[in-house]
Amino acid sequence: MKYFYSILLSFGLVIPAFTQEVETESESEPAEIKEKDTVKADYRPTGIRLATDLISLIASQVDTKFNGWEVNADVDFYRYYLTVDYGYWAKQLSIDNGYFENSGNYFRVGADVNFLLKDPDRNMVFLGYRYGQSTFDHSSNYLQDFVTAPEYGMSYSDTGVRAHWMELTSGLRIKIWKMIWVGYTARFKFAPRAKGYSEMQPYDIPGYGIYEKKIYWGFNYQIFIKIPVRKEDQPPLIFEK
Amino acid sequence: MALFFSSCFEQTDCLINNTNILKIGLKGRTLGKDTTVTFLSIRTLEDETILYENKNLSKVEVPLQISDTVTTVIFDYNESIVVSDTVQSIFVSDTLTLAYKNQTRVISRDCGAYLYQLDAYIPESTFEKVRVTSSILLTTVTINLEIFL
Repeated sequence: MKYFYSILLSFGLVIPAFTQEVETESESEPAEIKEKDTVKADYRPTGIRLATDLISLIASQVDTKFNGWEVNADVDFYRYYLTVDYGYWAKQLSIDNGYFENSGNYFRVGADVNFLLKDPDRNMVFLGYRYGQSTFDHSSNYLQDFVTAPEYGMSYSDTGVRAHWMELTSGLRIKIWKMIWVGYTARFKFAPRAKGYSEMQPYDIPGYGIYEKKIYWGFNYQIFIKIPVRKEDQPPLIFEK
Repeated sequence: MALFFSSCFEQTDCLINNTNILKIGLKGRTLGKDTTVTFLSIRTLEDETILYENKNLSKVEVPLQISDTVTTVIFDYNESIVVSDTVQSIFVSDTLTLAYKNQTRVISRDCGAYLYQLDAYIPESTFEKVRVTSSILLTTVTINLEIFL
């Protein structure tokens, strides 16, 4: 039952989680004096968490136009997490006057800050930042009407196109069993830049989305497995007078 | 959350403004003002298409090659020159070569893909003075280049 609630919680929003924290603190008696937490922050990593994006895997199975996967890894340094994502994304789309396809790999690197400091299960409510980079091929075959050539068939492609962008992230990580966590990452992607193309302006950038949209949203639902590198200390207790 | 979903399903407007028609403005050599010239013929070198014949024109529209990145246009006309206080008409054949880049842009899945011709420049010309005013061909652009005659 505990695991059921954990999963349910992981579908929740970040904002209520923050609100709950704030309310808990404000409800405490003003007369009570909390002892100053004298335990030093331990920046030594406790383990590496490896993850995969379930949405990409499911979409690859059910959507004939999309094929992709994404793996993630993070390492904790006290409340800070160094994160790396690596993925593949290919799309085959029919467009109004023809076809478009692309395929390529991408990576993201960045950091998250956990706001649930004293959680014994190391659950996370986090905010973070990512730098993303993608290398991909794209092509399009289509028909276009010209004054001199009605329904003229064209085929254009580029290989080795490179793009980069930035992301602000937010999400949850909830421990559901021993070394298993689930969670989601909402991504606010912005400032895409592309280079290395000549025949086609990028339309869809693997890892980012529609290039023309200078702000784009992304969402991952992830399952994590933690590989411990040292025995974890228990979080410090708060004594009240 | 509402913002998240509305952003994902946002529709792009089909603002398609590409064209392969190069618009050439004719200007007077001395004053630089709009001028009109009687052309015996204007034709493209690559496919030998005659675009205009015996026409009085102040603006010339030339369809650029879509399967190539170079289009050469030949302008035949009579020019008046003064020789020993008498005005004489001489036959002139000028050539203008325009180089450009063909680039596909997928506007959206609903709108489709379109060819844009951009980064136009003049690698060769027998005209005395030619100036590129807009290096991308768009329906919204009125003049791409000016020829001073």
